[in-house]
Amino acid sequence: MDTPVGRLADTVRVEELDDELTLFDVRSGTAVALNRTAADILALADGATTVSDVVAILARSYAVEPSAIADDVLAAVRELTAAGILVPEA
Amino acid sequence: MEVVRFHTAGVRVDLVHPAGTVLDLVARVGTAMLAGIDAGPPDLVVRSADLPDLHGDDSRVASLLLAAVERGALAATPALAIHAAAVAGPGGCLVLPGRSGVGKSTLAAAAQQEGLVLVSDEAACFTDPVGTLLPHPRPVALSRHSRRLLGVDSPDDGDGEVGLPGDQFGATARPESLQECVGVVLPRRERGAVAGLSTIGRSAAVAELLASRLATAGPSPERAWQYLTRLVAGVWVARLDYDHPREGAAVLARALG
Repeated sequence: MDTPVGRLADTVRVEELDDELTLFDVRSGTAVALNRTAADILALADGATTVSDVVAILARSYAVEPSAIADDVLAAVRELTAAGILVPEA
Repeated sequence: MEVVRFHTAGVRVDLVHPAGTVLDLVARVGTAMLAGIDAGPPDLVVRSADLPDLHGDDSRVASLLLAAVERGALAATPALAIHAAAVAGPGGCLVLPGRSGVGKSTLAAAAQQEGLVLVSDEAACFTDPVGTLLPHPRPVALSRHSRRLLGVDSPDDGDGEVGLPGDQFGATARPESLQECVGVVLPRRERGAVAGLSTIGRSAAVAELLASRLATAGPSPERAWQYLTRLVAGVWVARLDYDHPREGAAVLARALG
């Protein structure tokens, strides 16, 4: 949980669509639809912010206990990292 | 040798083949793609003598020739082609993306029976300005099961998929008539489903459209994504659930008023 979330990969393009985000992965040529949690995580992914920080920030934003969203945030970070959308800070 | 001139997906295609029954069949089944008198010179020439494995009865050869015309047109079109059906009504045109076998052709033919205009049962060909569609009214390919559902089955047609003239079910868009996309609808057929539209996310619609992109002479994947993002920002998006294609088509017809 103290691991940095990472940052947006250089090979990913982002566009806003109303209150959603659409991403394009240049390497795979595919588009990715992000749910609200994933989009909020991406907005905080500056290479230094940790998973714990993200959980705390989003919990305040959503007005819930951190424990209520910690698992979802961690799962989303893992999925975004596995998909190559988030990468470690160089 | 005779020439049959086609115009589809924004591409003018000349088909060269000996005169006779086969060419008559080609013109009849592919009637919706026939070029107008003032269509201009061809962008592409398909010569039957250059096609491999062109044998069988007249019906099979005609099907192979039409398939070659369609393949050539889609490969040559500068449009952004999405694997999708497209139908039009007074309110504009709806694009229905989906993989092969999901029921796009059957739904498109049912939509024609409901009074909508067939733009394509296979490829939505987007051009500029954003949201503009070039018709691709190829023969509608239906399985025996689908033909029975729509009440057009004939014992002479056999069990396999049959390409039927687009105007057999209703009106088709003229190849030169540009259409305006007003909505993207993701069809989902399930037994027992109550026909209706439900909300989906716009980013999910972009992902589905891009995943359905066909290989053409059109834009790169990134440029396609940019186009589709601008498109989806300006149209309504929904999922269509239905059981019988006629029920789904009725929903589409109401949506296009």
